Amino acid sequence: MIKNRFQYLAPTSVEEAANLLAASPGDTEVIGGGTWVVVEMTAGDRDPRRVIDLKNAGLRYIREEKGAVVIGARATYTDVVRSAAAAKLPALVAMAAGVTGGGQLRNRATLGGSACYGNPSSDVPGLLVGLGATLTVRSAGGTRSIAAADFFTGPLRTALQTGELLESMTIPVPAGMKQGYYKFKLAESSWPICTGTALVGADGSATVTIGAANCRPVTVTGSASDLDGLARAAEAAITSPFSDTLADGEYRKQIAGAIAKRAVKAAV
Amino acid sequence: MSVASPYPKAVPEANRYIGQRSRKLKGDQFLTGKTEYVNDLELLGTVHMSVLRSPHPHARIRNVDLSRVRQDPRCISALDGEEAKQHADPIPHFISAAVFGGKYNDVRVIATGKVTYRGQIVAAVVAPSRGDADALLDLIDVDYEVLPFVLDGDEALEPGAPLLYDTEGWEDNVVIRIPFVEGDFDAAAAGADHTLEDTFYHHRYSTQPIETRGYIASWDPRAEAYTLHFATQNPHPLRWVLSAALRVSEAQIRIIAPTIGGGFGLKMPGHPEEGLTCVFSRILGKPVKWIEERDEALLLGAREHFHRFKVAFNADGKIVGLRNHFTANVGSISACPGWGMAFLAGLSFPTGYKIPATDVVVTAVTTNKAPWQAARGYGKEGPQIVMERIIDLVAEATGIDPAEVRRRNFINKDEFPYKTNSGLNIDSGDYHQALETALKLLDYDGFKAKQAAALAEGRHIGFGIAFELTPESADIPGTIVGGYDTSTVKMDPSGKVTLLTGVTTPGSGNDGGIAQIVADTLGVDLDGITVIQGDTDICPYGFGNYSGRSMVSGGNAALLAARDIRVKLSKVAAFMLEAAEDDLVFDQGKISVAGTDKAVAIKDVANVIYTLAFATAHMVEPPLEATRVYKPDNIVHFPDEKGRIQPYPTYSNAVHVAIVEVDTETGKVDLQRFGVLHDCGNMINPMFVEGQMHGAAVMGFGAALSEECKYNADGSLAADRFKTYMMQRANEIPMVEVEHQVTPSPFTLLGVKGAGEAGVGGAAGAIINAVNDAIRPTGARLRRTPASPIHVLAALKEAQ
Ligand SMILES: Cc1cc2nc3c(=O)[nH]c(=O)nc-3n(C[C@H](O)[C@H](O)[C@H](O)COP(=O)(O)OP(=O)(O)OC[C@H]3O[C@@H](n4cnc5c(N)ncnc54)[C@H](O)[C@@H]3O)c2cc1C
Repeated sequence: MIKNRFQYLAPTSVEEAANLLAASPGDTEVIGGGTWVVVEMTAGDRDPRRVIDLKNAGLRYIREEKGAVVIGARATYTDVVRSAAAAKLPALVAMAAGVTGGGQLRNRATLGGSACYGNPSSDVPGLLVGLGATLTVRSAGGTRSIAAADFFTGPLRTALQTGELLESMTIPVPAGMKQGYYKFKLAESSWPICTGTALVGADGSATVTIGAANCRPVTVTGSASDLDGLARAAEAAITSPFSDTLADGEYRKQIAGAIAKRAVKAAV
Repeated sequence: MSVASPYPKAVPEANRYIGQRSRKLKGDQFLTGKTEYVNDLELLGTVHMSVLRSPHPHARIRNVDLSRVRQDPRCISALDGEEAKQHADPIPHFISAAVFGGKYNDVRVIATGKVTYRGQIVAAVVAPSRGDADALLDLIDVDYEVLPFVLDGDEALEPGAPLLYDTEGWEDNVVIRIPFVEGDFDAAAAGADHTLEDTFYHHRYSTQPIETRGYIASWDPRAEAYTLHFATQNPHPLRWVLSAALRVSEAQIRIIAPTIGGGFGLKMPGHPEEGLTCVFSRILGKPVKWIEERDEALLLGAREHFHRFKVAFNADGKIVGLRNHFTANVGSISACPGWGMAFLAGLSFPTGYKIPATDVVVTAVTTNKAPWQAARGYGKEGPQIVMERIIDLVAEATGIDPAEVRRRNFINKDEFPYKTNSGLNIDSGDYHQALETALKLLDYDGFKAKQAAALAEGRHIGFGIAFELTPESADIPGTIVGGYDTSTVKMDPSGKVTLLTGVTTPGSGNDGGIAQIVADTLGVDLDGITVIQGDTDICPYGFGNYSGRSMVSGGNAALLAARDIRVKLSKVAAFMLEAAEDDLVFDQGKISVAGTDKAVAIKDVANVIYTLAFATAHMVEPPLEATRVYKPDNIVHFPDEKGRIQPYPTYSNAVHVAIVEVDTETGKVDLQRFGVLHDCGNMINPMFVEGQMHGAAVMGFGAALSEECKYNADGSLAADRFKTYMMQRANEIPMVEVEHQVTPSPFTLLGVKGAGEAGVGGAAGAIINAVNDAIRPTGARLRRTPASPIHVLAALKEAQ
């Protein structure tokens, strides 16, 4: 049960949202789909005085722009699955379609919310890093861009500063490269335990980003024809393994190599 | 085996309900969301309770300060443990360990003095809304003296371990130690060709009905009586519990159990919140509501056993001796019946196998985990998993096929009733035939070749078998767990039938099954029968729902009551039709004279009995109401010469088979096929039996693969929601392929045995054996549940 009363705000532009946030960032929560925030408010883990809901702020879009796919912060997983523009990024679509929780969750939860939450044990961070995305964030003072690899700074930590909100994510369409996404879960309702996002060039060069296993996503390079080498590199790259209730870091590290291979196979 | 038929002159076979897949009563309401659960009820003036739970697994409560919360305008009432003591006595234990020579500890609606688990209630508040009540908890100040704690069962047994209870008699943390010893194990082991020793850890998991617990207590100051709308499985026994705790007579309590959204044991009595809502309602004179949150429901666990066993067997696979001394970590002491699962785990060895010498000792130990609550399987699931592991280990050691080892050790069909070493008297069965049918279900004979072919490609598939014996419909002497039950059948002057029974339905459909029995006995239409359950003021005394008992006790009681009604109808109809009673046929709402076209509507006969009591119906006693009890045979509470009792009338059995593939890189188990041959005697409604088996099997999948009450090192519950307590979902499970074998019970009127509990342990056992079969070529062995990727990979790494 949500314990305390709060003010609910639904600004009609991203600028207005940024200004509202700037007024009192300390006791305000921004929500996309609210599938984290509302759950945590119910559990008493968050107790905001104000909630800014982005649903009317014009951020629910997915479009193609200059060889890239731009995803508004309020776009849902279902939006991605249905989007013609996103179809250029099969790894992204596979990721979105594979989010658990069924239609109810995928229709409501946003990629932006997942990115801002920064839980290592989730799909979005590894995928954004793996596809070389750039995140555009906005504050009352304007916008700035952050590379995904720099955005995820640690468990439940991101480069978002106080008073900033996420506006969009820009993912370049990797020309001439095959993409693959593979997710490993303990059971159907489990969080992602280890994910792999692979880009494989025509020459067989492969880049794999492992998500969910390390405190920050890690990227290794190698060759699609030497999967064992890639697997060893992936495992070695897990230098600060992530642990939570479902799985400790040691286990995640042990399977990272296998997941890297499977991501490459998903691409080829 | 002859089975008493409900048909003195049988309803023509084509028109019988018994044995039919009749639809669930009120099924349309469930499907269309019209069913009302306790949380849907809105009584005028209802206020809401929330409870403050201890953040420490073990602490002395120095002081509870309610002054800040009482100053808040939202606070309607607040209580701490000492204050609650003035309103309520300790909650009687539903099954007290003291009855069996174990230890006892007072359990109160709010803890006083000490808390022994994280999550124990230390104070409670009432406010206009649940949100307000939750917010008020932040204003309660509790001063604790934190004490050292112990979470592990074996550690709790060590000298010097923190003692949970400092009351008299608790010189250690042992709740009870129960031996089940028969024959001379050491001699058997010395004379056997081989022995093997191993361990098995059966982890802590629970049952999670989608509807959690919920209570609305309402004290009427004028009537000086409570009306309780409680989501409970056992209204009458709960009334007894509450009357003792609340210092009122049972007549001052009316419990009305609304439709409940699953029970599985969780909703059996003894929970502190039951009495607590009553205490507040009496203080306030208003209805007080409390609905359990999921993290509260997940506190209650079940089954955490560590088995250390030694098996003596001969080269031909015959087992001659079993020693298993195991611990059961029952968590903290509660008034709920959970701990009793440890007792029945010991009692159920060695399931359906003939083992001359058995030395089984269970030690129930209390720790600073939250208490156990009853969970479907009620202790029998542990022995099922462990015995089936043991059989496979013997097969491995002797090189004999695991199915063959089972054949060589099973009780034979001509040996029933069979008395086991622990004193159980198994009614009937044909385990050999059951095994053959189950093996065919998943083509056991063809599997070896498939397995070899898969292995050649580097894939690890495995086949697992588990026999399951499920003692059901218990009567535990000296406790409020009864094995008999009561049903009332009434036919009103318009010929409609109302059935009231002391058994309740947790959603399983037993109301419909019992109605089928009555419809056939009276020759009336099923749709015309109204079933009322769960109201202590209008239903006859009964024990509600547990232990696969509804058809055995309530169903047979309804049969007897319906027969009494039928006798009256028959006498009057014979007079009206000028025929002999023996010639009457009851069918489709009519009583007719066999071989003629003479007939009278049953409703007309009913009307005559009410309106012409001094004329046409002078020979029978009106009204058309009968209440009967059914006490099944085979329960024996007078101890035999060895001091053993026999608390179960029926023993259903099943053989479960599973095929899995293990991903050896990640340890993940893919359950590919699952089948079960189930024998619960005569079936009133095979669809309901199958529905129960589907549900139980999937619970077993969860037990074997993913459900786990994980704790953090600080004593807090780590798995406190469905993202961390992982139930199985529809899209990860295979079809549950069910086949039936019917070996009627010679000890119940309708030849029925219990159904509903069976499935959890058998399904889990088959999967654990299948996983072990799959990883055997790697040299690895899984000695625990669940077979989650993490534990399977650990086993594989250990073998490397
Ligand atoms: C049943 C269930 C299943 C799930 N399954 C998966 C799964 O398979 N894989 C997976 O990765 N995740 C899963 N999730 C988590 C899901 O990904 C995230 O809940 C979701 O994507 C978060 O999006 P949201 O919009 O609902 O977040 P919200 O709850 O709205 O927000 C999450 C966080 O981000 C902040 N935030 C949101 N939008 C912005 C913004 N524009 N700018 C700044 N801050 C912002 C919020 O303040 C909050 O801290 C599941 C969740 C549930 C409940």
